[in-house]
Amino acid sequence: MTGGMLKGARAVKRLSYREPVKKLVRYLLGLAAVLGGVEAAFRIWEPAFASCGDRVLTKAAILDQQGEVEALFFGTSRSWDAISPRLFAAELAELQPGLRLRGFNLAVTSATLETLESLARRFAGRPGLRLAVLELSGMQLELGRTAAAEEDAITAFAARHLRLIEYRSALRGESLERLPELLFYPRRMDGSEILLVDQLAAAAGIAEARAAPADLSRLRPAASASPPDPRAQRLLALARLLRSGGAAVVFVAPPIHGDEPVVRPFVAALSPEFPVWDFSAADLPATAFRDTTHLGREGRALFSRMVAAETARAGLLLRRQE
Amino acid sequence: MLFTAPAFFVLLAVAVALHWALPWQRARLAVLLCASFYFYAFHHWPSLFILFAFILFNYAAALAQERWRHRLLLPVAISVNLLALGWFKYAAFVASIVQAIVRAPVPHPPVFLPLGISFFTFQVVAYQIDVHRREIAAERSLLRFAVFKCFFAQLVAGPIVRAHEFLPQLREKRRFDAEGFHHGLFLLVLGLALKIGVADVLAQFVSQSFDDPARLATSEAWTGIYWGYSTMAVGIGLLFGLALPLNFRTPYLSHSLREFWRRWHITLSSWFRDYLYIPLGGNRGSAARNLLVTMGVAGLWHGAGFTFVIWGLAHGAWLWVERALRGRIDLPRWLNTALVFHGVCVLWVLFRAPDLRVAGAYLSRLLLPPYRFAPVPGLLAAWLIGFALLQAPAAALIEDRRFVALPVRWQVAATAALLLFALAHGGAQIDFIYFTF
Repeated sequence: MTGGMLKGARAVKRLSYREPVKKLVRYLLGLAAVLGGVEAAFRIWEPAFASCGDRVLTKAAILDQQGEVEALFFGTSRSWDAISPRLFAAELAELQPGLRLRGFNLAVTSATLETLESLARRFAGRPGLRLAVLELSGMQLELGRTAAAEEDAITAFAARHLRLIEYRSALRGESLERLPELLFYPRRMDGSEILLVDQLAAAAGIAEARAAPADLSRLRPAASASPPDPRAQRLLALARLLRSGGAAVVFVAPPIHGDEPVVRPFVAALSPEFPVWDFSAADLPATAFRDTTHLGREGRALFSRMVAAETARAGLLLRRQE
Repeated sequence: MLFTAPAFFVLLAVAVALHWALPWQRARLAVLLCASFYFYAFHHWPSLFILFAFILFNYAAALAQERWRHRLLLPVAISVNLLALGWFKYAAFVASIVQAIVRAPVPHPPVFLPLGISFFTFQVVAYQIDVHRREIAAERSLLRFAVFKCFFAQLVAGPIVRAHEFLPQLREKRRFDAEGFHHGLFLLVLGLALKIGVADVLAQFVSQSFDDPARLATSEAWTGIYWGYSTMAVGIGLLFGLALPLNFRTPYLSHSLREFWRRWHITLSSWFRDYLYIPLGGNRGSAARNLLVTMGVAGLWHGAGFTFVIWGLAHGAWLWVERALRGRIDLPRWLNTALVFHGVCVLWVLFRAPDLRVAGAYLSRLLLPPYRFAPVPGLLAAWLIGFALLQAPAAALIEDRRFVALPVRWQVAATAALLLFALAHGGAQIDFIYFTF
């Protein structure tokens, strides 16, 4: 083999070694650049990323960015599905001409009594709040705090220095779905939007369909007189807290397929001090339900009207208007 | 320590850096051995002594076999290994059977299950048989043998690496293979995403489904878990320049159960084929008996319980029926694939159920009237569809270093997406079931 051939062979060998190394370095640098970019985005829009990983924090963050809100709806996914504050305000404006009300649906899936208490504490003194509607249901009466997952020392250290680690749950599909409403159009939301399409529709100003005319006299809350439950004291305490901020407080049991006897003792215990509207046995058409416990679009429109009608009938929002 | 634990990544980074920084092969092996011991001791340090005992006994037994060639040495070596496995894994099971037979209390031996004992027992049994058959020479270096025995990438959950595949790699001083390293990094991330983002998410539905047997997502969860872990093991090996065999080749796309077992947990299937099925007579003689015995033992290997034995026997019976009907029934390929997939899924119920009563209740809800159909949760549907669609492309990228041939921008995009996906779903750890095997 000549010297030239040997040199050539060595050069080919060097090249064949260097090429993969170069590619590996480019790959690692590219990966670092992408992760650095994501970290930068997390730092720039930190409040949004910090909130979107959690349903409760998302709702609270959107409410924080709203202007004056007069009516707040607290509860679980049942109230989230059942009440559209926009429709409620529209119905109420029809019943009480001149009343312009802005509402926000603070209900979140799997909310417990503790969730309700923490939200009530946070927003009880919110300026302008005039009406607080609290869900009364078996789901809402469940106890249980959401415990944060325990982190090992390495993860905790990384989370202290990297937002990407600290707010990593923001990268989940359901969290990313919540991101646009936090980043781009929080003031256009009323809290009742569930899917991304609902958010986009609300942001574009597309109004939800109102309920078809219906005889509401059949759909009045039921009366009940059963012995009280100790958990009622906690509900009373948080209702008083909201009332101390100047809001009228009402408990509402949303409609459900079948019966929900668990709410009856609470109706009896709470009603001496606060209005309690038990719609759990309301005779809604089957088409109003999305499943056995949640209302669909038709049901939401109808239920928003039912609550508005009861609000008007009870005169809860008359005093300040006058 | 799980491959998904942050501490593991620190250990891995340190071990990889030290390994390539050291110029001497013995020093590199020492790094691998120390990392492996630390990895093993992290979970339960007393188990380390059992591992030491396995290493020393099998090192000496193989050398003795080679030196004296006595026909009793192999049975002794195998018996000692299997007795250890039997004591730690099956003593309580046997005691419960005896108790049921004699209808009187029988003392249950106070034993614990050393991590990955089934894997490393099978590895050393194969090694002893290979030495006996003179297919390989007994390893003379204790350091090299110890690394072969307990390299942390394959120690507790496989793949079951054979000596002829692995020991030669430990003998030569390897130059840094940038392409292998590159591919290894990707496999690590892909395996992580499969374990955390697919398996752990689906496992939540599996647990729910055993509370409410109307739901089924069992098979997908097991696939995700094991595929992910196994892929990570291969990736970790490549970071050290060591090639471990792939354990998984899209088994749910198989059109026969025989093919399924050639694609599922490949190193274990081939172990049973080479060291049990063929010695029993294989396809000659009573193939039905050989299949039932092999698969029954395979079931028992997976767990000390009747559910596992029945699961293995059911697979054996199915393999026999399939063999008997081969060439007589000609179904379209897609229908065969669907039948294999659903049949395997139904049998996974036995694998997952804690006992026969629960398995029976689950299967009766699944197969017998009254039938109750509940809508599949959106998240579960999305995960299953995503997994079904992506398993073939993912498998294609895993095999033959095809990932490295992609343009760098695509490599970066794919890895970043997988990494962020894994990060998003990281947090609550779900123990890896194969650790108890």
